[in-house]
Amino acid sequence: MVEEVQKKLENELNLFKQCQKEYQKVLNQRQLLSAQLNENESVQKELDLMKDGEVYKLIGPILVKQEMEEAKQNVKKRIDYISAELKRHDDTIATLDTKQDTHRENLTKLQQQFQQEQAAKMRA
Amino acid sequence: MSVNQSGGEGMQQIDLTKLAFPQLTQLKNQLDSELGVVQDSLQTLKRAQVKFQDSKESLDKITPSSQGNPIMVPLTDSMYVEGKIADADKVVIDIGTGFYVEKSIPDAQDYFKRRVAFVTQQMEKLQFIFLLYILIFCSLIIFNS
Repeated sequence: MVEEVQKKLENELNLFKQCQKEYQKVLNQRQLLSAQLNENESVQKELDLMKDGEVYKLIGPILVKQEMEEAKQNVKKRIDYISAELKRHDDTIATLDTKQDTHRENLTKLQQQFQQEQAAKMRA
Repeated sequence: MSVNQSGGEGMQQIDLTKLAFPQLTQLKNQLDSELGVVQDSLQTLKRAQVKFQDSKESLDKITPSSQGNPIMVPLTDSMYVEGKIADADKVVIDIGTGFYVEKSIPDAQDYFKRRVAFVTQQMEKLQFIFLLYILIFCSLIIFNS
């Protein structure tokens, strides 16, 4: 009986660790995305402040002249995309959060069960 | 005795008197790593601030009279070729995500001024958070002794 509970406990612990790893991964990705969003937003602000003058886009090692309107549209498109990605990541984080909580609860329950079983074995 | 900890959503209040020793250690470790992140960010911001400030100052050296002046253009870190300043009125600035814009010298100076102000503002915010962490640490130390 004790072995059975121990096996379950180990299994649950592995699942929990896996969950934590995934959570950390998504969290890192989210951080990267929000940094990109900030950068894009500051570029957008800067482009909006421009009255005249040329806009260039760095493609590889060369600067390519771009129309102001096109540049603004591109930045806007990217901001929309990143915002959508951020939202997707937030949802994933929320589900992983609840998943982690259930694993944690299961772990506490199994741990208690394990201790009880062990105590019972000692008495027997 | 309690510590206010700002976690993702809302504030979470922790009563230090109800924590066992391992939990206190865990709390301290968590605070340690969070403080490390704040310190790293502050350093990064400081570097950015210096970079923008340097760029702004180097603009002072380009005046209308420097048009046609000979300059050494770096091709690599250790090789230069001779060139002439063709246009002393305009510079091209990297505004992030691969976009470069052409600006007049005063506009460019204005841009760097704005950037420095923005970075300084962010640093002030972080310094406030930094102080908060120091306060939490002090209370932890007092509580532990």
